[in-house]
Amino acid sequence: MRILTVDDSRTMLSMLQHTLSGAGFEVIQAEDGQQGLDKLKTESFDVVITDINMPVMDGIEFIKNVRSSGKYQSLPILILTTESSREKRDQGRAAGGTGWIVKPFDPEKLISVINRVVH
Amino acid sequence: MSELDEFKATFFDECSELLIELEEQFTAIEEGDKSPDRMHAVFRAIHSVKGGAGAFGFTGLVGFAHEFETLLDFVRNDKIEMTNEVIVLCIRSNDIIADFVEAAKVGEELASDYGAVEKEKFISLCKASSGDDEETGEPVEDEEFDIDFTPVMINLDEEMGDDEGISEGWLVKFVPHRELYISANDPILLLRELAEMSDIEVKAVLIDIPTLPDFEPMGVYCSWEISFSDDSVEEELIREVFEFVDGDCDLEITKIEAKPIQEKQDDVDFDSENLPSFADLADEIKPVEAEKPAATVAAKGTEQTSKSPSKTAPVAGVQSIRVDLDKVDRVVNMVGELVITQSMLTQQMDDHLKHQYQELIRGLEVLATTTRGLQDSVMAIRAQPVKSVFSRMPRLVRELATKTGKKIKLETVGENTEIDKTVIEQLSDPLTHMIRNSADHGIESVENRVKAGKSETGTIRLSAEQAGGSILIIIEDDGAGINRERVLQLARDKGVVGEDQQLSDDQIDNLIFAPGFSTVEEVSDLSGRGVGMDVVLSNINKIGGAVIVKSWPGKGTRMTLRLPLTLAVLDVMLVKVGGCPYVIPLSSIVETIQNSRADFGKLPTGAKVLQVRGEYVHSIDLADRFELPNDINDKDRFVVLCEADGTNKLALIVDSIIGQQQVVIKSLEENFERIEGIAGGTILGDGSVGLIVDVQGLRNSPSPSHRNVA
Amino acid sequence: MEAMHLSNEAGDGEVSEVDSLQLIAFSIDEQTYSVEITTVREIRAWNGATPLPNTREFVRGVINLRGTIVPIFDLRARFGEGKTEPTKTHVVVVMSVDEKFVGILVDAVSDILTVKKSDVHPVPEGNSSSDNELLRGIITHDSRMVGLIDLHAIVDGAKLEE
Repeated sequence: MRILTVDDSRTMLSMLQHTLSGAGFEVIQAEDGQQGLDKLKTESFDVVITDINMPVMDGIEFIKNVRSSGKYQSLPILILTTESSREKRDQGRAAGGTGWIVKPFDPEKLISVINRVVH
Repeated sequence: MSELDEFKATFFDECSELLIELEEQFTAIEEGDKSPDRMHAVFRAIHSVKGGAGAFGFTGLVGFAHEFETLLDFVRNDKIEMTNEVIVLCIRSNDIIADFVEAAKVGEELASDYGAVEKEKFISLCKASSGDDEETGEPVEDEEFDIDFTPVMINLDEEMGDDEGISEGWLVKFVPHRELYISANDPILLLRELAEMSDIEVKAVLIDIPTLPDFEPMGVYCSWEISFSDDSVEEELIREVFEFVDGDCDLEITKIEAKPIQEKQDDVDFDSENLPSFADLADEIKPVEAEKPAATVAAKGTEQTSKSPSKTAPVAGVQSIRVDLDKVDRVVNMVGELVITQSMLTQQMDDHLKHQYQELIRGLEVLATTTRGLQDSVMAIRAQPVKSVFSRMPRLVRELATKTGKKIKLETVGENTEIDKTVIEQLSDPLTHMIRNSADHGIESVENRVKAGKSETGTIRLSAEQAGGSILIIIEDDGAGINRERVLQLARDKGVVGEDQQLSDDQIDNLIFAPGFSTVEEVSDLSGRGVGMDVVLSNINKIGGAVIVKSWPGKGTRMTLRLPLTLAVLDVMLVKVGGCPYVIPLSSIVETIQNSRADFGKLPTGAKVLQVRGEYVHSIDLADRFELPNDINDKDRFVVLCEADGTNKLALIVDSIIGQQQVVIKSLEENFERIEGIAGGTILGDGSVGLIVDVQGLRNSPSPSHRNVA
Repeated sequence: MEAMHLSNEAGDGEVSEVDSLQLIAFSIDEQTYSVEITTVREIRAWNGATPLPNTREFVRGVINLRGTIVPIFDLRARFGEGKTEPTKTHVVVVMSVDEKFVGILVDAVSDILTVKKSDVHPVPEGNSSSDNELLRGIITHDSRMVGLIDLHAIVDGAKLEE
């Protein structure tokens, strides 16, 4: 299963990478929404995990863009969010986010959340 | 290194990049560019620092970053104006963040009230701007807001059991809305998750499915009823499965009771107090929600048009991978050894062999070219922009300005110039020292500047550029310049210069690098610390660089550092003196002359001077200087004319010249100590140690030291 | 083993690690000296050294020890008995002192000794101060005197007084 992780924080990307590849997922990284969209144009993924606050294109815009393309209407998108930014999470959901992951995440929880949204 | 340590290392790397970015952004903001783009960028940077810090439990950092972030969120949403006062606060706060990061890195705790003053300011600024409605606009709501509360559709009319009832399980009615599918959620996954929790029975409710003519392709007609055969699973866990689709479906969870003991009309199965508080919360959030998208749109609008020159936007199409620096260093070291082996092979090809094995020679030549190419490529991998060092200087200058009471502005140019990482690492101390020197002794006090008809604010300009095989780093100030009279007097007093010795202006200026020389009468708190500019010089020499100072009285001083692009490999000329191998860096050699053709004159003191193209050059016989036996006929020896620094030449007399080669610099100090006139050692092709001549060091201490103690 | 000759107690031949020292003994002319075995990294035959200019007489120069430059001190010269004229049979004992590698040039390595710490006698007062400086103590072995060298003194003494 291929996962696209979109975050401008290298720390977060590498922690996701570690956890996910440890669980047998193939992980592709992008550092902002635009890079994420570019990846989606050329490659296919089973699930996307994206941060909200990012330069160039933020997570909300990114999700809107993904959903507006016919090809990705059923692609699960998980939002990386902090404990306290419920408002952003709701914006992300309104934009078409499938679910969310609270940072800092617990590896087991991360995997179970992914299983909840991906076949 | 444990995984956690690796993540931490990544985090600290990232933090230093973010701090550099913050420094850049605030510099631009300070200069008046208050575009939303920048406001968003600084918010994001602090947000990222906070996020990472949270993952590792750096609570002090999280706490401070949290308040800072809140302030920046107000700023980016135009709720607080980025006044000069706020800018100053932010810049100061960057420094505090940097201190927190550094403390976390070395595993220290800062004082618990560290940054408390600034934190207070953030809070009061935010309070003032939000007025009565304090919570509004808070980007990060208090933790208590985030109770794991999931609003659900409840049917108060429906009978529900209470805990006292003997329950046999749960009945879950799940009616997905269209939105659920739009956000790419899938009922089957949810059902599957429920199935993992307990034995369940799922019944699809199909009665809503219309006949084909009325059937909308995107319509949602199916719902499910799930029954849990026992109540071992808590309701909360069931709700959690539907966490992501909350609001996008109707969800009813009821207890299936075998024997309802009593019925309660109003007893709902969750804390009903939460209901009104959720309503309050929703009210409070609304205005913010209305504003946020507007701000985002505004930012987007400018994003496309405004181009910040300092921002290194990732170029589309360039792929990169991250490699552990140790791995790169290993490659660099091996390439270094390869270069040496290659030059050793070439060296051992005598004329006879060359004649006999022409193919082999050609092969060796190709090997030499390839090795060179390989070396350049590897070096390019390790090259880093000087930005990482330059970015530390604004803070230094701010601190110096505060301490000296002067007004000082720092300009940086060419931060993207790349140098080998190892050179960069060695650059921080000398640069710090030179900037301190400029701020301390170069820039005048405000009143003196006004008196001299200059602007109140002094400028220190720090620039980097590549010039051929070297990097030039220039530190220039518009201060008073070097007080030559005083420098010369001090130098005479300290015996650095003889009483009747005449020096040119340039020579006087460069005296500030003489060992033990310092123009400050009392050791200053700032540039003092008991070390003078001679330490700067020796540090720079150690990495194969040179320093030239040039001064214009009343107008300013310019110090130029010339640094090698890399430290790993040095191009040298191998010579012999008294039977011992010495190497002279090729970069400092102007030409070599046979002794028999050289035109020497003698000074009254017995010192030899070389006349070359009308110029008289101080000359040093390395055999004398290094106290080595000299049994070679004088006229068979060679003169190596070197450029000690920009203005001074030096003629070194050696016994013989062996040839040119590349060497890897090795430290003598690692196991021994610094030796005057020697910049380091190197391993030669035959495995023996060659010594690297410190040309500038020799030039600065022209008299042979007879300190050999028996 | 050797320790038994030195042991004047119990006589069980066993010397516990805590209060024993293992030493490498080497000779300079007729005299035997020693250093603690734990400090020794390598013993190699003399193969020349590149002289260092403007250093003290007993600094013989530097050698290449697998890519690292290591200074070599002439112990005979250090003791003021003149420079060693080394041959192929002379050896260099490379040691690590205060995280630095240094080598000493000696005539030959003669023995490995295990002694009790309590058998290390202080250098008698009244001798020239340099004896006290260079030796940490004296041990009797086979009724001969073995000097235990103070490595720090050797290294520190190599520095030129400023």
